[in-house]
Amino acid sequence: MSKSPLATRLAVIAGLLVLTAPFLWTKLDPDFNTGFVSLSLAPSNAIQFLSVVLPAAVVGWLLAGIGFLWGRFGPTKPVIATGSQKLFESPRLLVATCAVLAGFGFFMSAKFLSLGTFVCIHMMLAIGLNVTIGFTGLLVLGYAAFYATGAYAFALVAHACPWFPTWAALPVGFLVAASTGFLVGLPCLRLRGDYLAIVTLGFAEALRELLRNLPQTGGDMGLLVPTSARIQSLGPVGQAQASWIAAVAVTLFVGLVIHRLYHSRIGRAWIAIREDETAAAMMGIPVVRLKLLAFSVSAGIAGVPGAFFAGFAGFVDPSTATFEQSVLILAMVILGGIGSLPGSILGALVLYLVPTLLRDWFPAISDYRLLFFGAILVAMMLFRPQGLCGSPRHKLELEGKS
Amino acid sequence: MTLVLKATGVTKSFGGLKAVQNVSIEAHAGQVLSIIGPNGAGKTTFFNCLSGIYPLDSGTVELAGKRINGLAPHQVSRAGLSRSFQNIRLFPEMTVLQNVLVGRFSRSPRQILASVLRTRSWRREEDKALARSKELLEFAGLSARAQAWARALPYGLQRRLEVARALATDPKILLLDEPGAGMNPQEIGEMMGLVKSIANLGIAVVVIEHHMKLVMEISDRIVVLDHGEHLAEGTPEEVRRNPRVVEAYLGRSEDQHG
Repeated sequence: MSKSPLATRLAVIAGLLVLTAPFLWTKLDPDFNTGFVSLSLAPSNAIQFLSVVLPAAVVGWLLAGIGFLWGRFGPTKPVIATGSQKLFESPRLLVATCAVLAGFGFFMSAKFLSLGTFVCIHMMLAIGLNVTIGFTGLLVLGYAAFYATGAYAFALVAHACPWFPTWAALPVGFLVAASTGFLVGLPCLRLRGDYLAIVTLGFAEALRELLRNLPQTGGDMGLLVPTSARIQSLGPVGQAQASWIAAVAVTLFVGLVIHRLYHSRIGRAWIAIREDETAAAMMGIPVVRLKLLAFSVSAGIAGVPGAFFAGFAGFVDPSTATFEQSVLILAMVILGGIGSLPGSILGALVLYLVPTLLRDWFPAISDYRLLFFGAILVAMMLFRPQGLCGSPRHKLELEGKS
Repeated sequence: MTLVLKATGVTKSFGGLKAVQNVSIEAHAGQVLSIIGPNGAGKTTFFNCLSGIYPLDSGTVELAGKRINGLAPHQVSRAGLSRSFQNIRLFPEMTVLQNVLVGRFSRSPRQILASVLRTRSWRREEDKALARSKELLEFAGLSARAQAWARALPYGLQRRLEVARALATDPKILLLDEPGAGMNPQEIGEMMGLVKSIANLGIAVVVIEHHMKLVMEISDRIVVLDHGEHLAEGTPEEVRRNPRVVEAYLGRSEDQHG
């Protein structure tokens, strides 16, 4: 009886070995004199491959394991969720947090601050994507397109009017990206189902090709943002510090706005739509209008870090709109916990820091970044589908079973 | 007796299947109208027609003198018609209180910016919605469970929550699709009490129900549908005696074939 699973396992392993043999274990050497091709074993390929896959799998496994143990043996109250609730409900605490984080800026190296600024940018992206995927239940696959929209919008505006103040980047990024989102969502949000996923995916690819080929957007090289429009040093505050402080403030502000929308009539309507569209409509909720609102807000929020990136990095290029970027943001939302605001923040922190640090420590891994995300997502889906910072609903399910 | 809902000649087909044919009903404030009929008689389809989920092939629906056929479900709801669903459709991953709060959507003002700024008027409206929702939970006997997750409620209470949520839209007329389905006798008794007290509030109640004890007990009038057609109508006593109704439910007896 117990033999058959073992036999199955062995068969699977053998099958994998055979299937991967042409790529990993063997090497084909054509002999041009004789015309024969000789086959030889080449375990070095396999070792190189496994040296990347195994750490990626181990990290994914560890993250999922930490999440699992936290859920199982951690505090019974959802500490992170409660903490975030307290933070965003109390303006005083929020300002204090902002001040403390900004204060760090004066003790850290410029390199570290730049890393922190990028983490903040990705936190905003994850928070924004969570509005559609997590709250409203709409799948968006090309979210990076709106990030790029915000970035290019600000770069183009700054080129056209050199006197344009830097702080105005954020509203410009928001408005342009939100209106783009509105136009993209308009035709497909009237339909039920995951049309939005395909449309946004196509939009992101089309936009990237446009950005690469239009003369106004500078092609593959992208655009430089005029120095006057970039984030600049201010008295004793260096450029890196100024960027970091602004990033922290803007991220907390975006988090606050979304927290407040979530805990309002609009937020409840979004969740109701996610839970049951027909029932939501029967409760008097204009479903199409609210989906459009959610998607526009979500797109607009991507425009904010987009414009921020333009002002911070001083250039924009089409790589901001790649599919990989979209997948990265999606992975952050899923890792943190779909539908959870603190989850998005945590997911962005982990998924931006871990690959970046790994890239510094093990440069070989950076080629396999996508594989790494894949390993994390698979591990999360297997062991902790509710994400690191799971929302209470899934906890409830677990309790119900035991 | 104020006439609240008047449906005239409602017809709906799916391909060749005539699900609802030329059905007319009148519902009055404070009265309970039951719609009964064998399985597949078109009762739920009729509800879907009234509530704007299906567009009508022909016929009109008037709510308080205004035509509501052709409106989208959210507009129908805004006009004052609310309903529950045969297969419970709560928002399972929201709390009991939040479920009812969602029902207040169309009865509270639009305040996107105010909700971000948390202005005083926003807070006032939010408090109002909260107070009204708690009132409704009290009414439906769910106060103790306000903070529970909707999906964690036992089945009978989920049905009651659906009713409370529907009431949150301040309806003039409430359509209940099999409120007693799958309930034990005690829960059915409680549901009967709830339906009666809703009618006592002056709301017109239309109930689809198979449970005959419940129907006979609560209904002021009964409409019988069969094969999508209006078969009979009258007080519970009249309907019980109507030979056509007996035939539709039990089939013809041999000697009647002649």
